[in-house]
Amino acid sequence: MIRSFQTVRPAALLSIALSAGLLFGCSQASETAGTSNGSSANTAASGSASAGKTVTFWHDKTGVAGEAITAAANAFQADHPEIKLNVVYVADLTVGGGQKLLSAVAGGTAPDAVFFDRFQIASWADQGALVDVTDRVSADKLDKNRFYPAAWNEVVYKDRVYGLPVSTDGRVLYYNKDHFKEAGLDPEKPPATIKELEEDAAKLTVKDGGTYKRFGLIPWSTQGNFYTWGWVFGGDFYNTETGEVTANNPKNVEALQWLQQFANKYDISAMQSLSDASKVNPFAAGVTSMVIGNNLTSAQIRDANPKLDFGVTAIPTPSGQNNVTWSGGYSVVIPKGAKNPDGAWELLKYFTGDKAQEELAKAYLSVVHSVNEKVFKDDPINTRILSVLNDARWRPVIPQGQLLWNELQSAMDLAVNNKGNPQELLDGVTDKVNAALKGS
Amino acid sequence: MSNIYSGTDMGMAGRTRTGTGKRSIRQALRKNRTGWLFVTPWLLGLLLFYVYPLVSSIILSFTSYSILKAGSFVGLQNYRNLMGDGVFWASIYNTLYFALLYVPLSLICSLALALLLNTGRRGIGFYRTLFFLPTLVPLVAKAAIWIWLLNPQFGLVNQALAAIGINGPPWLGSDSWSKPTLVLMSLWAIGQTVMIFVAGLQDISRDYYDAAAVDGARRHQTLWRITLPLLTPVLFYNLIMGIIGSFQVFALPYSLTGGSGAPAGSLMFYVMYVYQNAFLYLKMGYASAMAWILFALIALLTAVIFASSKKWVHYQGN
Amino acid sequence: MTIQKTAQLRTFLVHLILLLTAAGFAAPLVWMLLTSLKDNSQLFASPPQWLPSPVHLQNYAEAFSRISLPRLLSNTLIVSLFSALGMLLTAPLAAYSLAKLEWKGRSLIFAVTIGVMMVPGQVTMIPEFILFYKLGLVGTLIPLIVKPALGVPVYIFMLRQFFLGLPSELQQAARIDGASEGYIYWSIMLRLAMPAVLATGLFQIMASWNDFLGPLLYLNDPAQYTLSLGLQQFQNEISTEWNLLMAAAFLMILPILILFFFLQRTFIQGITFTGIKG
Repeated sequence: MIRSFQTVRPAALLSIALSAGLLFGCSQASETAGTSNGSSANTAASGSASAGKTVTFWHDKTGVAGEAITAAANAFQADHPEIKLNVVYVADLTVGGGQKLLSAVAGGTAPDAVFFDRFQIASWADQGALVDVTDRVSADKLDKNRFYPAAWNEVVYKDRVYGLPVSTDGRVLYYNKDHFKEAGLDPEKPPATIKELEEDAAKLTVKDGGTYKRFGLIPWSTQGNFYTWGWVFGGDFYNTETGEVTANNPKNVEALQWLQQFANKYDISAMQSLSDASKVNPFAAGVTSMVIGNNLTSAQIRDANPKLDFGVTAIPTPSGQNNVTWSGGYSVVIPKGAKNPDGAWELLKYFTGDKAQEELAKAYLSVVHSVNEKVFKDDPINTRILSVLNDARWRPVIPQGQLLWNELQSAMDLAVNNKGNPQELLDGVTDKVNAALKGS
Repeated sequence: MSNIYSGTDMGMAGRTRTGTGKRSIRQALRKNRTGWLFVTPWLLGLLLFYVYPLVSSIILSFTSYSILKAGSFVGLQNYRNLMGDGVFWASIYNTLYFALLYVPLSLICSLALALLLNTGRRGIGFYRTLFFLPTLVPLVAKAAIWIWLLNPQFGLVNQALAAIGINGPPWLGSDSWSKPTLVLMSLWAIGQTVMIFVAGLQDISRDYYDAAAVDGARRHQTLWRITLPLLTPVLFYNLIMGIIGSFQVFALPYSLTGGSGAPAGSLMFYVMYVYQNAFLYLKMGYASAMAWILFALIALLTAVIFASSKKWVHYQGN
Repeated sequence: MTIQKTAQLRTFLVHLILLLTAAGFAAPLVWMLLTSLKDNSQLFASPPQWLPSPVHLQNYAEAFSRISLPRLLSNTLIVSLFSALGMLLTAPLAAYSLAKLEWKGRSLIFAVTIGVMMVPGQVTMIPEFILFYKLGLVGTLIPLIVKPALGVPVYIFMLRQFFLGLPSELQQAARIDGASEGYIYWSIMLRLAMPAVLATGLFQIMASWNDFLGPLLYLNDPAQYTLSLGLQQFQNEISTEWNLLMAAAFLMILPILILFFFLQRTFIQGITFTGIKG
């Protein structure tokens, strides 16, 4: 009945399985042995006796930032031989969810210190997931005036300190000088008012037949998030007295109306495909002539298109005065469940010191004025950004910060696609986030 | 003629049994025992790694669990809140839209490809490898490749279309095109479904075709009367998995939009919103409630298909 | 004469359709390959530059040296091979039992097996992690292996469908001949389902190979990291080195591709059991 089996026989499969099992079983055994001896990530995680002296520090940065963090950590190790510092690169820590850190804290395998987006501090502190370092700050007489206000204020939630700021950034308008010349604009006279910005953008836009070859400006691209535009138009997002979100501040509504009207002048689908989703910075590639960027943008341009001749200026405002920017950045925190908070605290302090800050300034802006002045004295771009940094705004330090951010971005996405009226959209954001704040 | 039976004939052939009734009971017991025995390793995995986390998540769906904090019991509050959550409803719409488009298209395309690949033509191994290759491409690379190819201004696809005088669509740039575009991208990676169909086609005994040839059946008749009916068990599998998979579409749109679901929220799918609630807003209780509503939806749909399967799924074995 | 002509026409049409579809499937891969051969300025050129010139083959060497490929590869191999081998021992067995053996509770277990696939992993991930932590396995490769090794619902369901398609007469005849249930499974039914079984083995290898979240959550030591975590090295907050990433992705695909190329013969040559139902 059965004519032939031209297939692999189970017995053959099993013998492959066994031999492979033996082969890899051995290599795995040696692997396991190697890690249990050599790696303190495991030993710290499982809480062995050596944990008291080891500090396990997680970060998720690669490239220049990864090198800067490693250099700062190495400097710490050299100055603190009594502590065994174990720096672990974690592939994805906080970007888009931070499942790694969440599961580690929930499971009890948290490290001692983490390179942590300051933006998340309020919600994590509210959940009791960060170690309160207020008393350590006062015991060691750390001076908060050492830091930019925007950087310091983001580590303080309900008057308690939950980490130390270690890097910062700031937003400005980048513009392509060659494009300015082509369009007959003065490359030394970038737009100062929103009206000029709009006019220059129109002049810089190149349309060939039915398709756009270049956009003067895609306002929401790169760092042009809704926080940027709301503040630029004079709006605000939070009332510290009432503890309520004010996303529908009249000036914010004006900003969103302007964005909607700007989008309507052009082909929104073409603009959309050229903004962040293109996986390439559109300004660096020369397909937009102006962009809201931060200090990282110039590094990006250097990597992608070093020949690009660009300038930076404060983001234009409706009046041309009261320029405003905002800052975010990183901190180092001690998560709940850390085995060695004392050692971790030494690391936190060290990261705010001059030596570590100079290392970190190779990738970011320092949180310390004097360090920036020293490192960036010959850097006109960063000097321009630094000039507005002292008055930089910071996002509301509230447990629902992520929700507010996403809701604002989504309101902007809907508005520029003509899926809603700016006033109603921002009313919706306000109601939703305030309800969530009451609930949490 | 049975080369596989020859081995068994020797050892056990001599045994005789008395009394059919007794025998069938014993056999039934033996069958019961063997059945459970065979499924035991999986039962262990099922209970530990599937049922236990699932039961946890049901319980969590009635709490304000945040991963970082245990939270408190809130009864049906999460479920009630969902009913008034605009993003929840929008994500249901987007997900249903995607599933309705993707499931039939993926079944038709992969079946058609499998039929083409099932021929013994020369060089077919090359085609099979090529169609399978996209399923191997890592997600980050996949998302980036498509974004570049489908860029309305500079992408290869629209440039090619322009060359033949067609003004290409804005693809991911517009909210009306974004979901069909995602379907297109997903169809690129149907290699596994195709392979399962090919394996299914291989299981159809040649005898049926020989008999049909003797009866003088035409090609399309063979397809409709023999191939497709005998392929229904595999088709059934691919249908169910297609539904489960498309209701849970997550990784590609998440990676394409950086989690935002833009443009105009048109790529915000159900599980993306589950993910946002769980890990960005730290509302795991709420996310668990969403997960169980999704479970109810899929389970209902699957149950209907299972019930109908008696009518259209033909198992050669029975 | 006309029959011959229609046959020729049909062959021509089949080849044409295959060729066109193949071109569609290949285009993104070709673009990926071209990207992996460009340098930075070619990558960011506007308007885009299709062909790399000059060709930067050194991207492959750089991608190779940037991530510690041998170690990532050996970790990935350990995880994928052990999980696939374990799965091949448990899943077909369970599928066979659900399809071809009659026992009380069978439909319930099958329903649960299907049901667990309907809840998105996002909400079961944390309880699962805590379970593995309590078992003391966080920080090892074991969680990544043991879960699939005890069976994977998708493959159990798939294999059940294939087993259901096999004629029961074989089973009955072997039973009458006195063959043990283990023998019937291992020597008869499993062999008949071998193409599908091998397919699930391949799928499991692929799943482990490309898994990002599992290794991210469970591994705490870069010495244990897998390839998909290594790919992350080419992405930073400033930019992504797409040329190197694509080169690394190609290197990562290659072993599976070779495996597939050899395995696919067995899918197609597979089995021919004539006369069973005739």
